[in-house]
Amino acid sequence: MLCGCAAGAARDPNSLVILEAADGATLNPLFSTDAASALYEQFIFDPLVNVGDDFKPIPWLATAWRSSVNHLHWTVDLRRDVHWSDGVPFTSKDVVWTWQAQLDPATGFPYLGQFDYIASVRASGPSTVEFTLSQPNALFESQALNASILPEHILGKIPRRQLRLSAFGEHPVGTGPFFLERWRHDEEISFTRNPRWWHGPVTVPRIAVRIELNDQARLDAMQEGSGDVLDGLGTSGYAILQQQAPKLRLLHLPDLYSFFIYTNLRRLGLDDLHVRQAMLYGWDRRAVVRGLLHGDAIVATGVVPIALRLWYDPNVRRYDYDPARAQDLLDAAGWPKGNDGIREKNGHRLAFELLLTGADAATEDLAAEFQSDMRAIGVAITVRSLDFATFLTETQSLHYDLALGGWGGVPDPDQFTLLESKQIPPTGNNLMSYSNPTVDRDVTLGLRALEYSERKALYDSMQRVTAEDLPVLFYINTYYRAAFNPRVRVSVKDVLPDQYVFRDVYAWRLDR
Amino acid sequence: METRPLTAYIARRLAGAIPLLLLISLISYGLMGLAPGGPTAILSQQARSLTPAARHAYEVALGLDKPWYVQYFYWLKELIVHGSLGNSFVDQRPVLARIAEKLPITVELLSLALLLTLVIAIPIGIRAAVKRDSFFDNASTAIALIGYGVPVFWLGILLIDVFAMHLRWLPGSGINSVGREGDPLDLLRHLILPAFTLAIVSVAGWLRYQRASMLDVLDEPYVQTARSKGLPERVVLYRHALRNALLPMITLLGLQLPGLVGGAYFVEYIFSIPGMGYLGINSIFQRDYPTVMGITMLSALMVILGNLLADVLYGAADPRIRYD
Repeated sequence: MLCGCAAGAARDPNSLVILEAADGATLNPLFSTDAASALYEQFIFDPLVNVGDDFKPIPWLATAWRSSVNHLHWTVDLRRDVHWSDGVPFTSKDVVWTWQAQLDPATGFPYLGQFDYIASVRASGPSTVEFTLSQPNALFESQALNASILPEHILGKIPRRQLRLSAFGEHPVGTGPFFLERWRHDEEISFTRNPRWWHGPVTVPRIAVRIELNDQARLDAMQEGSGDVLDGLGTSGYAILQQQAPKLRLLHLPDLYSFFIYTNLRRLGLDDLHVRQAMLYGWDRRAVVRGLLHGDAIVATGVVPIALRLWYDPNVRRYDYDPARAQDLLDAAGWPKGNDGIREKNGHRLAFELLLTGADAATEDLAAEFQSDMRAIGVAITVRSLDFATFLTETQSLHYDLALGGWGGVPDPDQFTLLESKQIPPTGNNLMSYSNPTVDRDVTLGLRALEYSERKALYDSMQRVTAEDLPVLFYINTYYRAAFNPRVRVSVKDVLPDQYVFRDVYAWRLDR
Repeated sequence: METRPLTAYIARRLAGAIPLLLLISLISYGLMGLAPGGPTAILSQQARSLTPAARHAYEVALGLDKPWYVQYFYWLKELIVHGSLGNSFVDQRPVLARIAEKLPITVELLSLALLLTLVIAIPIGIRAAVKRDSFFDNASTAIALIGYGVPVFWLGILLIDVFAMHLRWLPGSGINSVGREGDPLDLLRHLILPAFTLAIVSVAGWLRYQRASMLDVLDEPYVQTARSKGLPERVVLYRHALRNALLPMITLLGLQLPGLVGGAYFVEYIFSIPGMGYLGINSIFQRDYPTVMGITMLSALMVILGNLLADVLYGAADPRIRYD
């Protein structure tokens, strides 16, 4: 009989084996948009400013940075002891080239819109760079200065329009703690340590990221000890490892994502605030969390996830399950029940279609429960499941009523492109067509303010107003879960969720 | 068999394949272009603040700003003039390089599936013919037809559930265990369940053909003569009858190939095997048009060449066949 286990498999004790569900697309940060590529890039490249504890910016390739009084001019001092992996010294030319390439539309940098407030970047010496902004931006330090810096001496020779097709994405040259060793797409990508890294010795000799497309295979590899870190565990996988692999160290902390049901406010019925409020009162989200999600999520109370402790405002209007109140709201708003139990006004039935994507059994169960809860208060819901690209096209072209989705992943409360009234597609991602002057002011000034107290007041206001307006029906905040082999010596309490898990992997230690 | 008529025959068949391939490419590109969703939808979700200008620049860079038939024309021109299938929208690498990485594992899976199919179908087909109308004949036919009627995705999931999840005899996904990369035995263990899934579905066709072919041959005078000479039944069956009964099976190879290739794509996806099928299905979800087209064309070419090879082999095996 053949055995399905891999026990006894030869294992390189010097390799940190990370298990991932999907491979990255490219190692060229100018064109990468997926999470796996971002993971690999942090091994190879360095930013000017890195992410420290509590997501605060810390010096990296930049030793210091300061702004003018009006926050429109920033001067960044660079380290002088850094070399690219091919031995060429790192200078301000690299920073200037990286930013000029990113800001040039000919390059096709997908995040160009996020940095359109950067007017110019120039070198004022071999180790000093000046940024000029068209308006102050609170994300300049945490996002712009956190971008990977690329080698001018290699990429500068390629016309910008041709950069997309260059082989750099397969053969990168960086200043980071690791070199690319080998990449077998959809199977494994490996990195070896940079022995001359400017930051100091790298304690992990080698990283092998194994792409295991199947959930069970990743769990098996952790249980058998052939995997060291399982990043981004699902609810059921976490429960299995908790029961069956007591030796593993498990990480479980609130992540930076919020999930909602988007409402298209251009649809008759959904444009009525009482209807949206009634739908949230009539949706038993606690029962969904308790039942379908085994208690492994937090009922969301607003647009900012609870994990952003510095920004999350709990003092907003709450919508605890109250179907009687939901019915009262709908009655008061002039939506009486028709013969079939579905409410209607002026011949228009309160009937909507809910779009889902990537629907697994749990999501479909969730949709069924939502459907049932809504039916109970007189709102008819039909469900349509779509592939991701079609789902996005339908929501971005506003051809939908309700859609289950989410946003987040960044350690900042900024919601400008999601809630500001001019960000309705095709300009931005305000898929709800939401418009409120107070929120417009909050998200606009929130981006321009640099003081924490000032920003906090603006984002508190944003959270209060959106909790009243309900442009989205708040669903859940999720947890980030990961599993660590005990041979990996890392302080789990210091680990940040999501893409920040490996931010200090160079300092981890491996027991033999 | 003369060489000249055969060469001319192959040339004629290959020339005839060109319009067929063009038609396939046009239909595939058209379907893709008309399908809802596109590469920019995914990009604007990933890069949340993709401005209309940045989106337009991206579309221009990839040629997506033009109608699908114009995009098709450029794609075709690139293929004919430069022999290039273009670059992937996802990782910007040449499509040919992406396919070349994945092709070996798909070929390995198909080969193993075909081997299993033959090993199962041929002996059972022979025995069913020899024991015509017996319980064995009826039962084997019924079981094979059930296998034929089962959807490949359902069967794959069932086998994973039983043999990988519950019994834990075999791995249910991937092509190797972590830490055992490059180990051929480990690869084989990973390919057994997906290959069986494909084999079970195609066994019925082979079994029925083998049975019918054997029955035809058993009625031939030379088999009767061999029997009347007092030769043992084993010698009659395997030395005289089987050799001729196997000939029509070569044709079946060509006929079965399209189903096998199509089935392999589903099986790769179900078993998380990073082969051509997995790449193809992911590329469809990602709206990576150049990769989808590359895989479609290569699959079509494989099927056409498979059919041609079957015809040529049949001619080689049976001297009565002429290529006029």
